[in-house]
Amino acid sequence: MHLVECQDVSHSFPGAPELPLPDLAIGTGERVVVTGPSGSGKTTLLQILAGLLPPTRGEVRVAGVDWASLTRNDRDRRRGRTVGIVFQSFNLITAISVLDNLRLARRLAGHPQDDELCRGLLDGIGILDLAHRAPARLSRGEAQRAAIARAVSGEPKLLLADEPTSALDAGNAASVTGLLLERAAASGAGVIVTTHDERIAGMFDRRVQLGCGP
Amino acid sequence: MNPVSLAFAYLAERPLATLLITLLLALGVGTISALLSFDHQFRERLLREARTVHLVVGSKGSRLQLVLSSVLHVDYPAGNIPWNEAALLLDHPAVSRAIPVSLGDSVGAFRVVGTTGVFLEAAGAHLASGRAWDGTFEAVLGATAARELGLEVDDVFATTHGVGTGGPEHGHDNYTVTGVLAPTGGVADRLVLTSLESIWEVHDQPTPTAGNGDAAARNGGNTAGPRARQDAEITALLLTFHSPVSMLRLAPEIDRHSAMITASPAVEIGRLFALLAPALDVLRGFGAVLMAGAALAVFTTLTAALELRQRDIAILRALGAVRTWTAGVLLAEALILTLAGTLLGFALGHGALAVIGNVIPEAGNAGLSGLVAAPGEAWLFLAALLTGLVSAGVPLLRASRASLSETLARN
Ligand SMILES: Nc1ncnc2c1ncn2[C@@H]1O[C@H](COP(=O)(O)OP(=O)(O)O)[C@@H](O)[C@H]1O
Ligand SMILES: [Mg+2]
Repeated sequence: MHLVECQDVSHSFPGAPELPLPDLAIGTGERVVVTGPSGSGKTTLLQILAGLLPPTRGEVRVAGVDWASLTRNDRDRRRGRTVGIVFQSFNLITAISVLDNLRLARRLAGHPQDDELCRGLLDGIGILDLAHRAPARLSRGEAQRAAIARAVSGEPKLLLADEPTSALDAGNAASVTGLLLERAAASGAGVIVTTHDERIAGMFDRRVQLGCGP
Repeated sequence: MNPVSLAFAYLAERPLATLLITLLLALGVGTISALLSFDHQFRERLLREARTVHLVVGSKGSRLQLVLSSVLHVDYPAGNIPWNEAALLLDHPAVSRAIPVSLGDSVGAFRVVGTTGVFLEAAGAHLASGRAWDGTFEAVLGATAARELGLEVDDVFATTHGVGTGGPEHGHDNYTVTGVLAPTGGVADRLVLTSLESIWEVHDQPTPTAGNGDAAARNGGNTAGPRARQDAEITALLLTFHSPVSMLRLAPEIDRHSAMITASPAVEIGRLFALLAPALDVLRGFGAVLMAGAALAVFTTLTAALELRQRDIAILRALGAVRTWTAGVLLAEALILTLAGTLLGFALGHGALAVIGNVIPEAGNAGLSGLVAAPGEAWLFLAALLTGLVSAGVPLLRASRASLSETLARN
């Protein structure tokens, strides 16, 4: 059984042409990078894989379960327990501190509280001194790191990251991606990262190209 | 991190809005609760007094004023009646209990009442310390009066002429405290009780004429009974009858054939209620408008907060929060706000009543307290909570219809 299976999937946004998405079969612990120009469907693909967006056609299985076979509530619960997501727009909860964002994600993933682990993640990604800061008072780069730390804090089976280095400079992009891959490897998680950053594309096992181009 | 702690975080994130909604709700609830409690206490208090006294006999003038001054001790008496005329009623076969009261003096903010031992019996008052008055210039103090005047058994004090403060003093320290009453929850708590003779003595009314001791025999009891005096006066006589029929027969007779008038507390209080009803209705309407305004404010603010919260609900769902979890956050937020506003409102409303009861002697004499809850206040509490729940319910419904992916993809 593959961690992710995606067959004949396409999505039609209202008033837009059908957006076909590639067939995928991704194994446990496998690391895939998805590249493609802006508007090629990277975000849409990740949302469909995460069970956030039901595709208009096709079937998506994560760890053997078709998102479409679950009720809304079960889909939300299962996502929390199996998938970690780094959103392109970070989506940190602004009313609580960075550390509380991690604690919350861990709790919703069904894990017992573990401040040592959460602090360790923040330390590893270089923002431990910002643990108690409100997300609104972070720079874009800091917020992106916080979003990555939160996505792995729930020890997901599948880690989805939507352009997770867009706000980082070249040197940091590589080290943060390295850290993300390391965390995923530590818990045996599969990784799917979208990017149009050629510098990090080489760090993955496999590359999936969306839209036109090489 | 649980829904309640997250709700607190949201409230702390915008302290001004939180404070504003809480205060708005508190003002509405406070006004209504104060009105409800006041109305309730007022009715209870008046009706209780009206039950024990069937008829008041006093000098010609306003019947309402007679009841207010002699039974409830709030208004000023219009005049006096001759004691020998009133004393005739003490012996009337239809009368089961007769309490003479002689008003006009005070100690600080507390009224002095010249009366007989029957007064204590009728008020259901018991001595907490000391003994009843016996003869002239001995006094028994109600619990509140004793506490606020700082007087104990064997202390001495002076009375002043006139009700309220500022009148000329009668001599100095001519009275001795012989006893202090246990709290009754009624008017007796705020009275200074003494014999009729004390009042007569203070006002230099004629000395007793021995021999006319019919009334004295009836009212002697354990205290010195009033000895009949030729030109002595009292303010009013409070009568309780064996049957309503005999009262209805006697009252017109007194009105017609004497210089006195009669007033029924039940009737006068009924008229008072009727008189005050429009004013209370206006106040109640004002409170309802405030309350509706507060409810609307809570409603709109929570709905507006949803526009910000839409995204957070989507994030929570993306992180694995089930419906009960996200609903819990909004409900907790709404409930914390409404509970805080409602409880603060009750505290404000009742605090205001307590202040009024302490500052305005008439309100204090009428027994106005901040600690009495009207049954209507339970409904007020439920209505406020319901407002909070409905306010959370509408945003929740809208949130459940929003598209998860679109909300999360927004910048
Ligand atoms: N909610 C939406 N409604 C309509 N069209 C959309 C919506 N979201 C994305 N699209 C369209 O779908 C295509 C793919 O978008 P997206 O997945 O965001 O691309 P990428 O992440 O690669 O930039 C684009 O043409 C975009 O305009
Ligand atoms: Mg995108």
